[in-house]
Amino acid sequence: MQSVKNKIRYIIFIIITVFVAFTVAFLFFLAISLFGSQSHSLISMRQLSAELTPSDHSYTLSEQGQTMLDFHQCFAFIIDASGQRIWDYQAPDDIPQTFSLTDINSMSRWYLNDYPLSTWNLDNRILVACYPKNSLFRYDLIMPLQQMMLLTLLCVPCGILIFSGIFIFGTRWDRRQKQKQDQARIEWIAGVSHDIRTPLTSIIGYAEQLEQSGEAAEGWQHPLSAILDQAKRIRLLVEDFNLVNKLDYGIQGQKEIVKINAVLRRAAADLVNAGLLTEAYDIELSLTEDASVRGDEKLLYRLFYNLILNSIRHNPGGCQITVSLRRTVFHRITIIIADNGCGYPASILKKNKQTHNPWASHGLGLFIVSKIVQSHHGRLKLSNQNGAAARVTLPAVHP
Amino acid sequence: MDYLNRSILLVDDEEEILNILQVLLKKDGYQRIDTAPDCSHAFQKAEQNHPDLILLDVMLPDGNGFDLYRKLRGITRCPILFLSARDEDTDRIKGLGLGADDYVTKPFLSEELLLRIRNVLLRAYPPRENDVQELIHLGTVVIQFGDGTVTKEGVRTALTAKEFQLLKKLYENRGNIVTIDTLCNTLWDTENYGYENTLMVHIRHLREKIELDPSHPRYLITARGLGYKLVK
Repeated sequence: MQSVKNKIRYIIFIIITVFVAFTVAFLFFLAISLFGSQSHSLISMRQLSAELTPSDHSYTLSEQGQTMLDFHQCFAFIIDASGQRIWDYQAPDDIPQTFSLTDINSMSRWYLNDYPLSTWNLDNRILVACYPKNSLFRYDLIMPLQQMMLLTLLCVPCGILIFSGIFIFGTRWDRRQKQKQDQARIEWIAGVSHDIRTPLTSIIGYAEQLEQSGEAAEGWQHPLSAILDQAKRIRLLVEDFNLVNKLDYGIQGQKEIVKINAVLRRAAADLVNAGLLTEAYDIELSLTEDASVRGDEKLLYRLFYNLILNSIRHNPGGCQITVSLRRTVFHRITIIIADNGCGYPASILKKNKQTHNPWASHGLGLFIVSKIVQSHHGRLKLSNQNGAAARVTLPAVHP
Repeated sequence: MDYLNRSILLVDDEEEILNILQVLLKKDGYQRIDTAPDCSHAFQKAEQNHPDLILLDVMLPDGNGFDLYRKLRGITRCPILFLSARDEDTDRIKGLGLGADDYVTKPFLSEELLLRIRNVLLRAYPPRENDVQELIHLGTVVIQFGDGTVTKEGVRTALTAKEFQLLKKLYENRGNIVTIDTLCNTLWDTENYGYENTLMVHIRHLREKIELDPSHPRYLITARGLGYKLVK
């Protein structure tokens, strides 16, 4: 489930990236074509031509035009139809008096004696403004339209490659960071539970000795056994806490073929042996079909143990418990653990779908159950029928 | 009760825990108990006294139990159990992977720890055959595992190999239900399905030998849907 979500997220990310890349490239192109020529480092030829007034066979440049050229350290001149330079403003000596057609052709595309320049059609003449050498770059580009389009199209896969490269590297880095964090948290919790366990060993050890010695003072037998019971409860809590910690960070146990019927029977038998599943409870196992699951036997045992224990705990007066297993479609099996007791409280049924804050009121039992089911790619459904019914669906292996 | 004469070395840096362990073991009948608070003392005592079993904490002030285990293995072949407050699977696997005989986590339940120590001792120092000539009484019926016979109403019958294995397994878990699956694994050592009916046949034969009234068993009880139990 998670991986499908990730893949979709990945694809959406790539699409957005490509779209953004295209938009940025387009805007960039637009900006160059719109503002590039109007840049402050360039003279507006239209403005310059407006500052020129024809007189006889020559022109006069207004003061404003002169400042404009001076500001840019430029010089300008005008060529007439015969190629004669009929006017100039501060043209250096290496600018010829006459221009041939080939001169004009080449300078309109490249440079004039290494001066970058702009040209403007002025009536029947050409106005040329030259900039200082090595101040501007100019390149005349011409190529077949097909090639141009091909190049543009080639940019797309290149862009995608670059962006997805960045993306993959980024997510991998991110994952590694997260793994490091998770590892740190797991170790932290392991450390804390170690520190709780050590003093708890002393408490349980001494309390057991005192209880077995029978030397507890009169009236203290009950408090003593309460201390022992509560200490044992803390012990189980620490164990559960550790297990949740492991399950929460996706640490899955062994992957072996586990016979579900055997696990169900063992869980029930152990509950009888532990004195929890007493005569007050009538347990019925209808296991007519054999099925195996790939997973961790210890965790699966825990799953069913917790579910049966749940029925016992919430019906202290006794109840009927039925455990059944049947095959469903797509090589799946459904195990139903149901009782005719008081049923699940409404708050649990609501939480059924989203186990956000399971510790709050119901302990770790059901939370562990849901995590184990999740780690085995199964589904857990809790409902109230005649009593509580837990339905666990798991993918089975081929018999 | 030979195993109670074995000497045990306890290694733990917590004085309270050493204290609890000593009292616990002494009460269970062990006489020869020695303690060490850290790696160097533990090594020294192991070298001088040659204990029959060592109970080792993993986190010690001057090193860790795993390294100490490796060092100890250089001087002794006696069984070593880890007793640790670290319950990480990696630690457990590491400890057992080194070849330790068991890995018990703190806080332990005293009964469980004693059983594990006893089991390890019995495995490491198996009692001689004539010591197991224990007689088991189920009412007036007497079972003798030594030669695999049952005496009922003065008639002595031999158990078949399967019946013997079955009874032994049930006896080891006396008072507790043993599941059908566990019994099948004991008898056939296989993962195959469909032995349950054969198991029922063996149970029936066994009942004929140990029950006074096989159709109303008093000692070998059926736990419906789960397994069988030998009553304590």
